[in-house]
Amino acid sequence: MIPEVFPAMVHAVFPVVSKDEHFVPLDVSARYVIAANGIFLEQRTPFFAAAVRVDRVAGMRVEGLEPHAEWLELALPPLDSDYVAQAVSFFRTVYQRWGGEAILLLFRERPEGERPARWALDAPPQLMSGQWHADGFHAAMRLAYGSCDKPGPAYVRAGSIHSHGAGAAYHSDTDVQDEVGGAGLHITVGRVDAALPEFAASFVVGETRFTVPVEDVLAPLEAPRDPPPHWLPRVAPATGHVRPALPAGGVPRCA
Amino acid sequence: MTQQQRRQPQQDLVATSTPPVARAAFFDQERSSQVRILAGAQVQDMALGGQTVAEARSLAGTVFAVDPSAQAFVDGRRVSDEHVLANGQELEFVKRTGEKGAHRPLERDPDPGPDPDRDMDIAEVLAALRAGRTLQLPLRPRARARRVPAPEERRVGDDPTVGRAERAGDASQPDRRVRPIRGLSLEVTGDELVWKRGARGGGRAKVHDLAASLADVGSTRDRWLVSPRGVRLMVERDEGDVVGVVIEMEPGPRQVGWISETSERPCGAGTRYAVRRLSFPWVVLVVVFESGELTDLQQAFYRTQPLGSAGDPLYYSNLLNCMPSTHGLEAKLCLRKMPGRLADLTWEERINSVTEHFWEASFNRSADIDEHKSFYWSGGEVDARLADVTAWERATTAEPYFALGLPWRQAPFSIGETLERMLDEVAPRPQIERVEDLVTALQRRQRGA
Repeated sequence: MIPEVFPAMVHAVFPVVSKDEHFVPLDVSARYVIAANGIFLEQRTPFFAAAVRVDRVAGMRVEGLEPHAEWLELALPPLDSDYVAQAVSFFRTVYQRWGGEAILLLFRERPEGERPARWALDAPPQLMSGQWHADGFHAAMRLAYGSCDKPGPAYVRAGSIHSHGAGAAYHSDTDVQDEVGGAGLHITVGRVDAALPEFAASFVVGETRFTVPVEDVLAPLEAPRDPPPHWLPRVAPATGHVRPALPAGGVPRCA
Repeated sequence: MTQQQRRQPQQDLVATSTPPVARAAFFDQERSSQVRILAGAQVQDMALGGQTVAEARSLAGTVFAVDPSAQAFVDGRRVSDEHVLANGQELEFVKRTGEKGAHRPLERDPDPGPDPDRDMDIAEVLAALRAGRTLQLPLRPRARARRVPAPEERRVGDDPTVGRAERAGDASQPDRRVRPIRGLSLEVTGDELVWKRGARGGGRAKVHDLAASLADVGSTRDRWLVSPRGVRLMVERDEGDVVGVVIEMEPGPRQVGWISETSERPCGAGTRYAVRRLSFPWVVLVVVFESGELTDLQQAFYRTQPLGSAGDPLYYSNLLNCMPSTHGLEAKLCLRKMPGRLADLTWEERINSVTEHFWEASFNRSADIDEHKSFYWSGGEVDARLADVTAWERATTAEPYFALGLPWRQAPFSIGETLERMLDEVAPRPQIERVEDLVTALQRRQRGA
């Protein structure tokens, strides 16, 4: 009846509790919760705390257990407005030049002592697919990207921010698939050709996506700021369907 | 009762197959075997000291859905899966490549839905825990999305900035001229041709093989056509007088004129229209021109991906003014009201005229006066959000590209077959089987010249 053997060692690292009258809120770094409506992984990290369902029990209800729910608490301040402005300028430039999309990776410093943690952004090497025509490159709605070194050892890759060109800001199926397992904040910017672009934000934990209010994760877009000069050279157009591979030496990698 | 107190009975029941050392590590909260796992914003300390990276990867994949192809770094240094983790180390998994886009992926796992093999009876879990049996939680993440395909090198030919000579090397072009062979002759009789090489013998072949060989040579430069924007395929017949064109238009929400639901008239004067913003998948128009003008042979289809080959399938649309015709077209598109002559235009202008008319002319019920013939009425069978234009527009507002994800009904013929059938209506491809066919083709060419 129980189809898959879970690696035995998991029992040694996370406790398992049931959702009954003795249940108390998360008081360890991570635990499994067995509830009337399924099994949840609850955890707390320096950047978020969350409960996500790790398997569903179809139509099951057990006497004596309470149902549990997925939840998220963010421990991240909004991305600084300077970074938001740089990102928008970058996306706008890419759109004006190629008519396509682009991506930046979000990095977050781990808190240490009293020193405030910082955000960082960087452009990974990226290829937008499309076709060449008489008037230039016509980008398709697809973008492959590579990895990018962290700004420093104290940073973690905390998500991504990418554009949909002049299209709407939302998380497409491609985006959703890409972000599975990429725990962190994932932002889509749309209407980059407009004076006021659109934003959509999700926080991903495992395979669960939480929609988060944009104002909670992005500072307001203020004065325009030029992106760092090394970002744009990492964007390249390519014909045909681009798979997420990058030509050796064709596009510079992050320093 | 505290959390720690409550945990104890469950821990006694947990994992009888777990190595005693590992169990002790957890129960005693022994920090010395801890390894810090990083994966994106995921940070957890786990008792993985002494385990390999491969074992940690398996665990991280199961618990946190970490990409199985992610690169492993220990204390900032890239390591192999065989690396044994030491106490207090930091293991980070970094996803190497990714893919974004306002585009539906080419491949997607079907909706997993309720899967009896993956559901479990929670009472059994509790019973197992209480009875001291091994706890085998099916905690593998549900509905795992398909991993992005393995890396593939970009081909040199994909780069339009690299010229052919540059790719091949300027001096490397071979001299393809054939040296004359003294005494070689060719005779064509009936459906056969025979060549002779004097005393050295010769060979024979069928006339249709000759025709195929000549076609393989390719056309001369004066017959080449530069495809206008949006055109994926152009095929000539009848010395170029008849041209079949496949136009592909990108998906997304588009603003179109659509007959008002309250319009009393189906078409013509007095018909009322409204502007609608509707989600479309890839739209494929197949049009046959003769002497530069429409031939009334034009069809409209949908696709959820761009065309890749002549064998790709087509799908029926949910458009008004598009319906099966009485003379064999599966999805005839009405372009009757298209203004002006097209023959005087360039191909670029001609295609623009067709696509502009397609999007700018309002859709009405001219095909549905007696009965519901157009594909619009079958939209609700594809998806409830297409039951009527209002629902379609509402769904577009909620999800502008939702039409890319719908199970459109497949048409019976591929794009290549469809175009061939339409061309055959106007200018059937001559079969060159016999010497008479060959001579006829030669005479036609001489007349054309």
